[in-house]
Amino acid sequence: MRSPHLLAACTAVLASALSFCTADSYGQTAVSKPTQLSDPRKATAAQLLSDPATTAWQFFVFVNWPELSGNRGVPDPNRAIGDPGATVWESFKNESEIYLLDGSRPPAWEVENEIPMASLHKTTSRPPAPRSARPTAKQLADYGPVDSNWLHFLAEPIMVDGQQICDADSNVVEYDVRSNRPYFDYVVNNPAGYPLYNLQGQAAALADSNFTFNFPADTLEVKASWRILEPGVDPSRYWTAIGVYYDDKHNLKIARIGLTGLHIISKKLPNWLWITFEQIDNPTTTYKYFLGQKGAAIGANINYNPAVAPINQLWQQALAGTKWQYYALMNTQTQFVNQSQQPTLLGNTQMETYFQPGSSCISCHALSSIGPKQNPRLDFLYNHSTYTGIINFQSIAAQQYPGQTFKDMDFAWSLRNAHNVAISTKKKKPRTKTVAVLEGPRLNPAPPGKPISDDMPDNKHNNKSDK
Amino acid sequence: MSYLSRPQINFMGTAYCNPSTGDNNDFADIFDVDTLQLKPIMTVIQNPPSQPQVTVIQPPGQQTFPYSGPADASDARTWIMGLMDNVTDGGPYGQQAHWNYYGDHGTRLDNTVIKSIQARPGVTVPPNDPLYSATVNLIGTPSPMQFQDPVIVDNDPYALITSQIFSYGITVTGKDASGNPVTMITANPTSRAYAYYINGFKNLDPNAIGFQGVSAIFLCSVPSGPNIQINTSLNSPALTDLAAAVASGAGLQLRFIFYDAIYQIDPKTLHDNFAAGNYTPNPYIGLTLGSLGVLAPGEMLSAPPNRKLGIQSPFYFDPNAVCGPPATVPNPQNTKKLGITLANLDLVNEVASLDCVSTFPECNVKSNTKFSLGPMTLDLLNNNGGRITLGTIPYDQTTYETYAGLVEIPLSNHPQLAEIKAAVASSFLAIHSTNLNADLLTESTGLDIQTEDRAIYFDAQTLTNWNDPSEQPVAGTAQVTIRVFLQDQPVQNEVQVNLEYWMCDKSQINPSKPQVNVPSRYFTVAGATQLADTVYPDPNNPNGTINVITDQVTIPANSNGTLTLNLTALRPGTSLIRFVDPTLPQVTPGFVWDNCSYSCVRILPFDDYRAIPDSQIDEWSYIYANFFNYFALLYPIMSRVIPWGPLDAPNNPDTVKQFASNLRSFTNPINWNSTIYMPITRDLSAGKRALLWRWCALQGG
Repeated sequence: MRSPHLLAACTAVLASALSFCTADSYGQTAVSKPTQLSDPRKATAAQLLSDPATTAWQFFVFVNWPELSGNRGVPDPNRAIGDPGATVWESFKNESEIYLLDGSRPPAWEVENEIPMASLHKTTSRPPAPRSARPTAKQLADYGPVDSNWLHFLAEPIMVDGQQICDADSNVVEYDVRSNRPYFDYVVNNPAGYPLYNLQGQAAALADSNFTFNFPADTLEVKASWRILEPGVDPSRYWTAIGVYYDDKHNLKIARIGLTGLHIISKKLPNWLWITFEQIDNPTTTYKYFLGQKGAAIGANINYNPAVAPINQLWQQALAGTKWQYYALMNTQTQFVNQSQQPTLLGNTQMETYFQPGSSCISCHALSSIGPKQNPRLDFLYNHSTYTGIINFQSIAAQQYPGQTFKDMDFAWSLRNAHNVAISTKKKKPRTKTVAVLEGPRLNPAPPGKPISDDMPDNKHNNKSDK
Repeated sequence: MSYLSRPQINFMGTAYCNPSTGDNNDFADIFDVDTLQLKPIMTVIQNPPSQPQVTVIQPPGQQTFPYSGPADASDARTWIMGLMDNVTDGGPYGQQAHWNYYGDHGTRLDNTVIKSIQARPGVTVPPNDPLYSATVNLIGTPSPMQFQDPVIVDNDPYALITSQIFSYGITVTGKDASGNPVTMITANPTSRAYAYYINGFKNLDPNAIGFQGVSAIFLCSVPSGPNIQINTSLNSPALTDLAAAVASGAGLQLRFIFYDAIYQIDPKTLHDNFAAGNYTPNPYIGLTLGSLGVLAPGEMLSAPPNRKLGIQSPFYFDPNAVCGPPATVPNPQNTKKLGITLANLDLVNEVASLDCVSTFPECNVKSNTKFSLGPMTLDLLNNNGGRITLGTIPYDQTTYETYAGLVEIPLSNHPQLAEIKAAVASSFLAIHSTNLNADLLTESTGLDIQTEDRAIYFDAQTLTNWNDPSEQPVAGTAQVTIRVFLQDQPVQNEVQVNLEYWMCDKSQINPSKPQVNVPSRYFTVAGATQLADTVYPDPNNPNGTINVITDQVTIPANSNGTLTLNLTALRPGTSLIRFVDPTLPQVTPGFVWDNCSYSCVRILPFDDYRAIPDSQIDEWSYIYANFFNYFALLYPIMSRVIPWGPLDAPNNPDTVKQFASNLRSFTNPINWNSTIYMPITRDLSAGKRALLWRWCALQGG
C-alpha cells in the first residue's frame, strides 16, 4: 500500500511539471540497509522508469559499493556499503587515463596511472616510478585517515562553463570524471576499429557514414566534485579520500578531500539515465568564486525535486552509520521534456552552479559531437544560452556551423577530452609544469625535508600495460 | 518627443565604472594601437618639465623596458604596474599603472532612486505612486556567467572620446502595494550607448581629482516591440502613462550622465597593494542622473535628439570665488565653458524643454553645489538681432538632481507666444547670462550631423575561408550611416558634408589625448570627393597648423537627410571621421571634441596564420606568444579567469586547454553585441580569431 504522503508528493511534482513521476512512482515505503550487492542495470528499462528516484538510489548504492580489491570497477559482494576502501566508481578509469595528451592508446584497464607523477621526479635523478592510484602509507599518515584508499587525480579545476566554486577557506572545488570498463572498452577497443580515444579516431568515425556512436547498455560514467578538507574541517559527513590536483598556480597539491557531488549516468536507457546526488551541507558550505574571491553561499539546488524527499529519507535512514547517509538525490532525468512538453531540468550545485536555471543534462549531452577538424565540437553554450528541451542535433549543427558535417557521440561529452595524435614536433610532456614538492594541508604534520619520493605511491598495482 | 518630452522618469544614483586601462598608453608607450603589437621598447612618456612626470617605481627609475617577447611578460607586467604619475591625484604616489590595470570593464548604475516623475499633461502622479519605490538598472546579457555587468569599452583605447557602453537591457524594479518586489519595466535589447558631450568643466572645484571634474552623457534606446514590458497592473498612473506613451511612440529611451567620479583606491593604497602582490582593480564610482522617456518615431537610438546648443562662449573662473560669481574681467588662465545642451520646443504643448544635465558646473566635489552664474535665461534669437527671452532656467542643485537636469519652461502664458511660434523655425536658441550679459551657449546655424555608427570595427583584409591557404584576401569594408538635421528636422534639400580624418595622437603619448590629423588615409569612402586639406590653427603651437585630410560627400535631396558611407580599408589602425558642415566657419575642435560630430573607425590588422602548421600552433609557447600574451599584458584581469599567465599570475596551460570550448563560445562573433563577448575590448581580428579557433580545435574543444 502506498503512503498517502508519497502520493501527495507525486501529485505536487506532476503539478510542477518537473518530474517523471507517474502513478507507479515513489511507491517505496521502506528501505532496509543494503546488505546484498544488487546491480540496477539488470533491471529492464520499464522497471527503471517505474520509480526513478528509487532507481537512482539503487545506482548510488551500486557505484558506491566497495571495490573488489585490485579489480577496478568490480564490486566486492562480500563487503558492505560504507565499508572503508575505494568504491566501485572511484576505481573506474579517470578521463586522464583514457585521453592521453599525445593521443596514444591508453594502457590496459587494470593499469592505475591517473596521477601525473612523472613531473615529480624532475628534481631527482631517478627514473619516474610507476604510478599508482593507491595512497602510500606516508600519505595516509599525513593526510588521513580517509574513507577511500583511492588516490584521486582531480583533473578538472573548472566546471564546463569555465567557472568555479570554493569552500569556506576559498579552496576551489575540483572534479574528476570516471568511466566504467564497458565505456573504456568501447572507446579503446571499438568494434569498428576506430581509436576513439584520440581526435583522429573520432574523425574517422565521423567520416564513416555507417558508423554510429552507440555505447553498450551497461556503460556507466560518473563525475564527482570534491572540496578540500583542510585540517580542522569536520570530515564526518563526507566521503573522504586523498586527492591530487593542480592549484591555480599550477602547483601540484595533495590534500584530504571530501565528496560534495556525484553525477551518475547510465546507458541503460537509450537517451541515458541521468542522476545527480549532493552532499546535504553543500548549500551553506560551498560558495561562489570569481576572480579569486569567495562570494555568496551556493544555496539550495534550484532543480531539486521535493517529491524525492521521502525517498531520500528512506534511503538515508537505510544507510545510517555510513557516510552515504549525508548524501541526497536531487532528481533524475530520463526525457527531454515532460508531459506538458516543457523542458526538463537537472543540475548539481557543485557542477552546474551558475546555469542551474538552464541546466538540462540530457539536452546538453545530446550535443556531444564530432565535426570537421577546424570545428570539432558543437557549442553547448551558444549565443550566451544553454540548450534545454528536445535537441534537433542536425538543425543545431546547421545553425552553428552551416554546411559542415557533425555526428553525435551518444551523449558522451567525455569524448571531447580526446587529443590529437602526436602532431607536435616536440615530444609532449606529461602535464606541463615541474613540481618540486607535493604538498597540501597535512592533517598530521611531519618534519619537512623528506625526499619527495616518500610521497610516492608504491608500485604494486600498476606495472601492467597493454602495449 | 524623446526623453526631453513627458513622460519622464528621473532618477539619481551612483555610477560604477571599472574599465581596464592597460591599453590606454597614458604614461607609457606599451603597444601599437594600429597593429596591436606590443612595443619592443616600452617607454615612459617624456613630458615637458611643466607637465606631470612619470617614473617607474619597480624597478626604480627604469624609464624604458626592453620587451623581446613572452619570456619578458612577467617583468613587463611588473614594469607596467610600476608606472607612476608623480603629480596627478595628489601626493607622491600619483596614479598607478594607468590607474586601473586590473579593471574588468564592468559598468553599472547602482543605488538609483526615482527623484521625479513627469507625466504627460492631464495625468496626475501621486506621491505614493509605486514607481517612486523603484530602482533603474542597466543590465548585462543574461547568461550563466557570473560577470553580469554592462561593459564600457573604448573603441580607441588611446583616446578620451570614444567610450561606449554595451548592455542588454533596462530594468525597473520596485515594490507593489503590499511591499513585495515587483518588476515594473523590462526592455531589451538596448542599443549601444556612446559617450557624448564630454565636459571637462563639470565641476570647477580646484580640489577635483580623478574624473571628479569631468562628465559624459550616454543615451541608449530599445525600439518598440514585445521586449518592452511595462507593468500596468500596479495601480500606478506613472506606469500606465508611460505604457501608453511608449505604445504611441517608437520605443523606450534612457539618457544618463556619469559625473563626480573618483577612483575607489587612493594612489598610495594602490601602490601598496601592487607592492604586496595584491593586483587590485581600481574602479571609479561617481554619480549618475538619468531619465527614462519615450523614443519618438524617426528618432535615433543612440544619438542625442532635438536641437543642440553647442557654440560655447567662455566665462572666467575666479579662484577667490570658487562657487561664483564668475570673474568679470577676462582671465585666460581660468576659462570655463558650459556643457553642450539639448533643447526641444514643443509648440503643441507650448513648452520649451532643455536637457541641462551637463550644462551648469558644480563647484564643490563634496557637496556638489552648483556654481553660481546668476540668473540664466533661455532666449530665442533671430537673424536680425532680435531676442525673445523664453524664461528663466533653474539650475540649483536641488532642481538639477530632482529632475536629472531636465528643465521645462512653460510658454503658454508667455506674452510673446505668437511671436515665438512664428519665429521658432527661423530662430536660434541661446542660454544667456543676465549678469555677464553674454550668451554662453548658442544653437548652431549649421547642420547637425549624427550617426548610430559612432564606433565601428572591421578588418583590414578579409577571407571567406580562413582554412584555405590559397585564398587571396580582399580589403575589408564597413558602412557608416549619417543623418543630417537642421534644427531638429531632417534636411530634405541637397547638402554637402565634409569628412575630416583625425586620430588620437599616436606619435607622442600624451595623457591629455589630443586629436591630430591622420598622416595618411586609413580607408577610402566610396563616392567621396577629395578636397584640399582643411587647415586649422594648432592650439598648442601659435605658429603651427593642423592640416586635415578632407573629403566631401553629398546628401541627396529628399533622402530624409540620410547617407550611407561605404568604407574600404587601406591599412589597419584607429582614426576618426569628423562630420563637418562646410558652410560654417571652420573652428579647431575643442579639447574633448564635445562640440564635434564624429565616428571612430577601428580597422583591425590582417593577422594571417594560415601558413603555420598545426604542430606549431599546438605548442603552448607559440599560442602564448601569438595570442594569449597580448591579452595577458594589456588586460591582465582575465588571467584570474583563464590562467594563461604571465608567470607571476597563474600560468597553467593544462587548465587553459580546458577552456578551449569556452574560448570558442565567447569569441564567437554571434556574441559580438553581448556583454559576455570576448575580448571585451573587441580588438580581436578575424585572423587572430581563426588562430585561436584552430588552437581550440587542436585541443579538442
